[in-house]
Amino acid sequence: MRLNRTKIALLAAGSAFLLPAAAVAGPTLDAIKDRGELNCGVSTGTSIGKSTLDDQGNWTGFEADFCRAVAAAILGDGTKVNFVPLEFKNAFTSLQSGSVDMLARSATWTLSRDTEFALEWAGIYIYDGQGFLVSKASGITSARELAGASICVTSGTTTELNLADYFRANGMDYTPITVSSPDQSIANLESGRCDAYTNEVGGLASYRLGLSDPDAYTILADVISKEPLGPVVREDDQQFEDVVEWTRHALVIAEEFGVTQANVAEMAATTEKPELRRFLGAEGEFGAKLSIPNDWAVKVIQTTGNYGELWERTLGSKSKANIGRGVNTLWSQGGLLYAPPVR
Amino acid sequence: MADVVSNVTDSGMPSQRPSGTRHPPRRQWPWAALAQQAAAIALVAVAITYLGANITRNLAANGMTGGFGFLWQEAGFAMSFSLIDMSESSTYGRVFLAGVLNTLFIAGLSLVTATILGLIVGFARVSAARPLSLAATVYVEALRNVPMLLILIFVQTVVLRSLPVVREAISIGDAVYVSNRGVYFPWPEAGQDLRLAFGAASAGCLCLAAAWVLRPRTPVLKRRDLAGVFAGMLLGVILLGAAVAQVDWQRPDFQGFDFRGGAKMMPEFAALLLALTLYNAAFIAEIVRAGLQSVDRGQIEAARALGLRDGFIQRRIVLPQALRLMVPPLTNQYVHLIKASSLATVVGFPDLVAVFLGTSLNQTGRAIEIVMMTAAVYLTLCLWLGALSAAWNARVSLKGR
Repeated sequence: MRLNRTKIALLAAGSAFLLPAAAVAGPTLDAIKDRGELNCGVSTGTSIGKSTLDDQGNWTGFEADFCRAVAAAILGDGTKVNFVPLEFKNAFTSLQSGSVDMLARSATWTLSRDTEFALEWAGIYIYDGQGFLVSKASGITSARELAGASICVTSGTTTELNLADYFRANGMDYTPITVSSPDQSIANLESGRCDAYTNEVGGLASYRLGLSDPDAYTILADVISKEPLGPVVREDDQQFEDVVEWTRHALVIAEEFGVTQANVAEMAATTEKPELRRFLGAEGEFGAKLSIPNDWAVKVIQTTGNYGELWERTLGSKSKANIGRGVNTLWSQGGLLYAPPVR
Repeated sequence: MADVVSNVTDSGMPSQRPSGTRHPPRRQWPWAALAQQAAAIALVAVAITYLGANITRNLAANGMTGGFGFLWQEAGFAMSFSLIDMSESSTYGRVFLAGVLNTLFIAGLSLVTATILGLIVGFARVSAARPLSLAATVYVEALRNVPMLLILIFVQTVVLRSLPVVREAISIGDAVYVSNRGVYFPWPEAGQDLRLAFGAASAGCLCLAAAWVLRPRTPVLKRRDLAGVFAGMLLGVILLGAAVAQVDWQRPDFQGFDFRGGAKMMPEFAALLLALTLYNAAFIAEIVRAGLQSVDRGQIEAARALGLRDGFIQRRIVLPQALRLMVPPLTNQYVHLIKASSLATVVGFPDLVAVFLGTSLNQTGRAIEIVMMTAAVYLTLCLWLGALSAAWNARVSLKGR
């Protein structure tokens, strides 16, 4: 009796450490299906065009919609997403500890993160690079003119390291003004606390809109780094990683074949093209190979549209951010978007 | 209730008091107590071993490696402020050291400023002058009932961001410049800091020595003593002036984006220092007031009847007794201040939490090691403070018969 009590006490004491262990040990995909919901880590809701929380409490933006696409692929319903807003400095730890299933949060893929963090990048959904946002009144036209400047940067990001690399490589000095949220950096830039704000160019374009007078600011043409952004998952569930990776591929394949949100249902029913029939689940058991329904791609495209539609709606010409696609166009049009065949 | 009972036994029934020396209580078998303690220690040891093993197992299951090897890796990021030489090629170990020093710097400085302000406000609260005590009361009530984070954000966004931009900095005598990018002031040329510090230190020592030699030994200050103190202070000022004249001053000069030369106080540092000082001073003032009011009024009246001056009464009769009561709660407040200095991460001052628990953790992914090291620093600091306070307490406590 006494021994039992001791055991119970021990278990209670250890439960704080045991619980997350139980969550990460089981395959993530099964956990999502059981839960009927995808826990998706996004930004704190101010990244216009990527993940924005509007005044009605809805999440919009490219990365928020990517979460919906993954939920649609697994659960057949793009609304089954629990958005978890995370500051960048907490994002990786939250994923590692199992409090979210994946991140769609402008996380740059690097060798150290890929190996030491026990995380996997399930492909790249935006090819970005690091730039500088400056006020037009400052008269700065090139990053080389920033010697001696104070530069706002978000803590714990690759941009903080690239910034140091760039100034060191060019033999220039600078003062980093390091804060944990982009909003603070924007406030610092606006008040003149720093001369430039550095982040991914895509991010800068959207944060520029958060300024009280966006037209008084401009993004310098210099791009000082490669910033491949993609969804991040844990290493413990290869199958879930495949699903996330193929969700990204589905968006690209759909654009390639001209499958859109409007025509996807009709195409799935009528198309004669063998590759499209396999992709849309009319032929073969390709969903089953991923342990998800065979019509997964149809659900994905019905939820978000193809890559082009998704971009134009959230970041491109139909959005406030109005960012050009740059290299984020199909390989057949000279861009970097390429997807392996469904076969 | 317990007090009342013990008072009764003290005065009325001394024979019933348990007397440790004559009749040691032998109600329990001593081995039972020992066994209980051994069981408790074993239980804690088992719990720690179990948790440690669990962490190791979970890390291994996630394919994550542990260890402190990262401390020798190059960190690759810059810090906006550090007391030691830092560059992008410094290691994480050096980042840790610089973070600890920055934390000590901001916490130590605000500890001094908060104590000085707290003492002033505390004395003002018990002052006989109504407007003064009223102002002090308003200060205390307004500041201690507002979250410190709010004060910090207010200071940063409202006060400091509203200062002019660096190109339009307010100039004070073309030597000191104030802008929302910081306060710039002249500083000795490289390598001459020591000369100035030496001059200041020797001047200070002389002043102290003069004051000590001529210290009033009687309750009544004689004019001769006063003249001596002034002479000592004058000598100190002359010495300091000579030291300052010896030094070549580097003035801040606007070039490109920023002032070059001289020294600079970052607005993030100023905001944190101000918020920590203002907030903690309100609590310290209350501790000071409680201490002062705990001294029996009869003693002050008696001292006055003896013809002692008010300043002397405060210094020699009230304060020594008040201090005994003030030190334990003051220590508590200091511990709070040290921990609250970690709010630096909100405003962007590179303290230990910002550079190590923030940036370094995210760059290396060594969550457990970094959280443990950071916690250990705060734990050590606060335990040392507690030990110092206990030592002081033992020295000044009333010695029994």
